[in-house]
Amino acid sequence: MRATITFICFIITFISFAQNDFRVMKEVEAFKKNLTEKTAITNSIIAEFKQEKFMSILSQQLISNGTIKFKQPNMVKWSYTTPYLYDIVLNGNGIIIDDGGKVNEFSVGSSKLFSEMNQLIINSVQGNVLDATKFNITYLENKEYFAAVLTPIDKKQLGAFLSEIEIYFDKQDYSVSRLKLVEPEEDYTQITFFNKQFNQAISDEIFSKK
Amino acid sequence: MKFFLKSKILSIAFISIQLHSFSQEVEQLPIPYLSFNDTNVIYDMSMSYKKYYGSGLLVLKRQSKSNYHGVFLSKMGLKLMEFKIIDGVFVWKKMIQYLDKKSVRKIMERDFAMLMLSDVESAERIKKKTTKNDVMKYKVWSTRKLLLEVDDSNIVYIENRGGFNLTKTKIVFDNYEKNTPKSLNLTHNAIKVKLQLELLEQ
Repeated sequence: MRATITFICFIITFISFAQNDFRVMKEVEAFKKNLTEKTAITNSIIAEFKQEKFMSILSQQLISNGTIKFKQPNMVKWSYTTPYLYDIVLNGNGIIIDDGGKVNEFSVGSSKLFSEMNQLIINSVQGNVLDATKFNITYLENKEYFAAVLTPIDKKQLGAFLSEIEIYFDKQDYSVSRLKLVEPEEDYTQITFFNKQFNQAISDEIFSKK
Repeated sequence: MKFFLKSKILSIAFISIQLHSFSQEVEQLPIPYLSFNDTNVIYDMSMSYKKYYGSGLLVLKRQSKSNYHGVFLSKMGLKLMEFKIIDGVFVWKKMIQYLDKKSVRKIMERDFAMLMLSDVESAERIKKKTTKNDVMKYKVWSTRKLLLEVDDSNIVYIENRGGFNLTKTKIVFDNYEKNTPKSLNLTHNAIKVKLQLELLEQ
């Protein structure tokens, strides 16, 4: 029964991706090896991002923009600049939110869901998210991208909020170009990264409370 | 017989006065800020409770008479709460586990219904109380009893009334532009939770 459901999910995923010329990835092991090598030599990433929220309630998608800074081993700062000023920092110890000047700090361990989301975000940015113990993974590719489609195995925590995570890797440099977070009700968030810079110096200070 | 006739005429006169005054008041109903068309409004919503401060985006839509839809999501895009009012009945579609408590749900149902003015739309009876400095006060009988203040056809204040009302919800609708309030401020009696909503300009 479980195998049948997995097979049906795979077919649905495959059909929707086929519309964008995606096909089953030929060299999965080579892709994983190259991705691991790329992750190992990437100490930092600075990129701009465009976040688009698609929901049935919205007459048009909700767009926000900003910059993201990532530094090994596990520090990420998302800075939203339009249409609101909002920073969220994940620094390994906790989460710092600066909401237009109002700053709040939380411990990651205080919520299992937050903890999982935190890990997912950090791993996604690094491209180090292909954990078969937590996700059923389908590997696809087209001319421009490699894609990994992750379905959470635990439906109670992460799976209650996200039914699918699609990660698109640039074929040129194996960096993450696009993230699509699909909710159980089929609303989704798409984040596109551009103007990416690798291994630039980033001060640790930007990941701590001011 | 004479007495019976007299009292009958009096009651008919009373009923017609009542009906007349009711119909007058119905004509004076304020304009709802959520319109029936296909658009939605988005507010940047912040919540403070003692030392805690959090924020997100609240999307509201009035789909048809007595049918509403609302979503509260984090600024990173994660949907935290979703609810609908279907033919006047509040239905939760999604609720973050942390807040999923019966007492919290009950207060939030009232808060969101009052924010969207769904109770005013489905009012059984509206009665004008007073007018002061162009602000008209109304008593509203609906799913709950309400006090309403209207200025220039726009609702500027609403609170629920009656019964054992320790957690009374009070909302100020402010800074109207094209019949849509750009700022809303929600407070409660006896609970130190404060919601501040600012219309998101996209």
